[in-house]
Amino acid sequence: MLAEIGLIAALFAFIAAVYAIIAAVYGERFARSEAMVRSARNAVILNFILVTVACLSLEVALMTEQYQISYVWMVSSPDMPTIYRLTALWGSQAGSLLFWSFLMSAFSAAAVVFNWKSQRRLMPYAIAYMMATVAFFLGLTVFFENPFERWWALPSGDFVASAFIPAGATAPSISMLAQSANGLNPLLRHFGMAIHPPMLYLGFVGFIIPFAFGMSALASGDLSTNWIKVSRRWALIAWLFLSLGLLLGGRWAYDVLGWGGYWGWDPVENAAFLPWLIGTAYLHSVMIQEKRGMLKTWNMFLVIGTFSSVIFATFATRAGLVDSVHSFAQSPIGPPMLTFWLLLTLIGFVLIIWRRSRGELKDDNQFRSVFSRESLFVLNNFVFVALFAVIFWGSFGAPIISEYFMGTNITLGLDYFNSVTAPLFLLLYLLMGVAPISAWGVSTVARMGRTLLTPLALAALSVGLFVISGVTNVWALLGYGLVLLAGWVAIYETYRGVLARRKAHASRENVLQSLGALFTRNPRRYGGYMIHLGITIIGLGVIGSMVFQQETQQTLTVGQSAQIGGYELRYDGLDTNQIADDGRIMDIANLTLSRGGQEIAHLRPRRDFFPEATDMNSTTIAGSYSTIENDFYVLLVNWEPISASSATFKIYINPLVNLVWWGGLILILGTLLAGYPRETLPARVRAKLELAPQGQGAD
Amino acid sequence: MATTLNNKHQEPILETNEDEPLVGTEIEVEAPRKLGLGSIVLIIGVIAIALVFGIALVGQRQTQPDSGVAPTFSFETFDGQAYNLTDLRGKVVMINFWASWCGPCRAEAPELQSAWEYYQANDEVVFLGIAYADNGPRSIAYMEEFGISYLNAPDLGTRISEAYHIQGVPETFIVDQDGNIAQFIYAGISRDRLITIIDGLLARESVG
Repeated sequence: MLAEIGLIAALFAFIAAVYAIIAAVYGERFARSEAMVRSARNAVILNFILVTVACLSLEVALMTEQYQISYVWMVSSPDMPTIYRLTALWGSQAGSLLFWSFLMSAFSAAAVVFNWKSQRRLMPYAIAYMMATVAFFLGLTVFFENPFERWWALPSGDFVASAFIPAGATAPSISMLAQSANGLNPLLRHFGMAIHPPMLYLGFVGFIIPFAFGMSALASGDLSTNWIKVSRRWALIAWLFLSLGLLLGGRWAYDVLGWGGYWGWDPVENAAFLPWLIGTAYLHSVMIQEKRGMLKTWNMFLVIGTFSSVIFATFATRAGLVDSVHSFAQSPIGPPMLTFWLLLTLIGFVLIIWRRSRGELKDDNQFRSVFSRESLFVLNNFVFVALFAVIFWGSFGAPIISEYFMGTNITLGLDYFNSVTAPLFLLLYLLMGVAPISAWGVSTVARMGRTLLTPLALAALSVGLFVISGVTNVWALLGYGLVLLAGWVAIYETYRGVLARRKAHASRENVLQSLGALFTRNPRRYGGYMIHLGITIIGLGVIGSMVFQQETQQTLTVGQSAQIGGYELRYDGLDTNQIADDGRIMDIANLTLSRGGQEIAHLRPRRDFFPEATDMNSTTIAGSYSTIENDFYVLLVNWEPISASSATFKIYINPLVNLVWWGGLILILGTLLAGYPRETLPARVRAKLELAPQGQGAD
Repeated sequence: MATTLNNKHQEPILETNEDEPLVGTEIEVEAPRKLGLGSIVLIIGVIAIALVFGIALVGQRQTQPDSGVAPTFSFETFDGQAYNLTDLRGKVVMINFWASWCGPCRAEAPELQSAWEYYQANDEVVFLGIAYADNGPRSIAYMEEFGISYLNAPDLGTRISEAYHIQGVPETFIVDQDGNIAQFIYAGISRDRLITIIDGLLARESVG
């Protein structure tokens, strides 16, 4: 029953999306019928309702253990805890595609509802592009990777999974299906996995809205700043989720994958990082178009490029082209996804070239100074695009071309990525320090130098602290210096803002009130500084944990200790064959960590074995002891024999790694502030403008 | 430009038609630009990327063979005996790809060895282990650890694993007496399952 409801809802959602495209374009372009465009809007909302029904029916099937549905059979098993039953919706290809369509449809419905009045001109084409994308993904769900297929027993005795009942087939016994059910991939049984994919997907699909409005501007010819206004906020929302998704993914890798790090330059991580890079470039350069009416063509490329790289990332991940910890099994959706990516990118780029050739994307201003803020922003964009290019080449270009065209296997590893991206990242930090204090239009070195003096001194002072604490590596110190400069500039600029307000309102406000008012009056600017501060703190954590990571591998007998970095780790014994609620069998080592002769923690790294899982059936869970200074991180090594008397451990000391998570938190807060919808004008000015029709409405 | 946009905003909502030239602007005066070199390069670039990945997709379709003639290869075992797969025609050959760094291989190794001990005396059956992307001394240590006594060879230059399009280890292929692949086993295999398959092939031969 649930399978039928889900299947029919998904099918009708697909039809509703196709109808919305036709009604929107025909109504706007040919029939000039307001009623038809409204009908398209209603179809978008109907599409959302239907996809929700489809998603819910699969979710209910998972919760109520309908193992006849092959997807439920594949990703869950009777002994699985409820939370993983819930998250199994995105535990494998078919379900996650449906979930993806659901989120995309939700974003589209939200954009249509919230921006209907304020963006009425852009709406018809925006609806068309949004629904074309949603229809494509729903089509994949219905025709290629159907999560509602059920198991059938054929008269021949074989079992097949099919959406429709094959001739003469009967439903297999539920108990037999329950017994053979796979259970969720063990690697996905982690709390981080419950939220990492939804966040990442929200980040990915969220870029559909800026993309759709950009495309709509190109298609309709309304190339004013309308599309920029509406797409900027949506891009910020998507960017927030994408950042959160990347951070949570890093945390998950750190906790579960057991390689001692949080970022391995894995092709799929990189695939998720690529849209982030282009999206970040867009969020910066869009300011130049708002303030100076420049870079119009470029912004179009960025907004379309961001979504194009989202689709590419999805394609690369799901078609199983590259080997990765994330690889989905081979699947028939590769060719349609590649085709869709090509069409979307080509249509976008051709529209840009066409509008440009008609002179409609002409900039209002010229670049006047090398040190103006717009010039520095352009440089920032170059760096982001360069990062995109080298990461794309390293993760997809070189491996694919070498494997399929040169007959060898070239995999570019950590060395490539670290050495190629590090200088570019440092250049970004430098720009992050310098650009905020440069002026729009014309800026001189002398003026910038004066403003930079204080942050420079503070950065030098903080680097001095690192030197005192024993850091001698010149490159690391240079890195810390550049990263800290960016952070100090953010803090210093906020401080100057408070100071200026205090001058004007000292009698009425205390310092905190001034700071609050600053964020209320100009959330984009000061939220932006807060994001920069977050990125600074992440940068400190990355440099610390990358350059100064210590690792060792030792085999210890019971009672024996290993020494590393001032710590002493004693092996106290092994608890073998511990069985957890979900059926996993755990071997847990008991370790005592001491420092300076004092016991500070008991660590229990473990290896989990999942007897019923077919594919990856074991995971290595680290034991760790965290302080602000570093993480002491121990793994029970998987491929060496372990016994109660001796075991092999891999030990890492990751300095400053926790700053990555703390910085991430600040970044999220900053983004929330920057994107918080609030009027930036004082009430009396707003009252005067009330009559003006060009309000930002609810966007 | 600003005037253009203001004009446009005063138009009735549904009359934005991109075929109509914009009203009263400098834009009209300008001659339309020709398609620049940059644009052409860009479009060719996008198509080229799609082509590369399209070809890769087609290439990727080549998965592990589960029927047809088994790709032949020559190999030299760890203890120095050289063979070609064609030398083994007429026998049932079990080819198992493994690696010392692979967890599931460890679980499987005793099963394989135990199955081999069952067939050791039977001249009709050959077991062949192929160490995929492994390092020699570690492979040998692994074989010693599990007391593996059947033929084992390193996959030098990953030639053999490429011919069989393996995607990971362990993967097992069973080649029948005519040199055709009788069975491809994706994950770890048990002694009993292996014996069922091989006995089936041996029985088929004796009946035929």
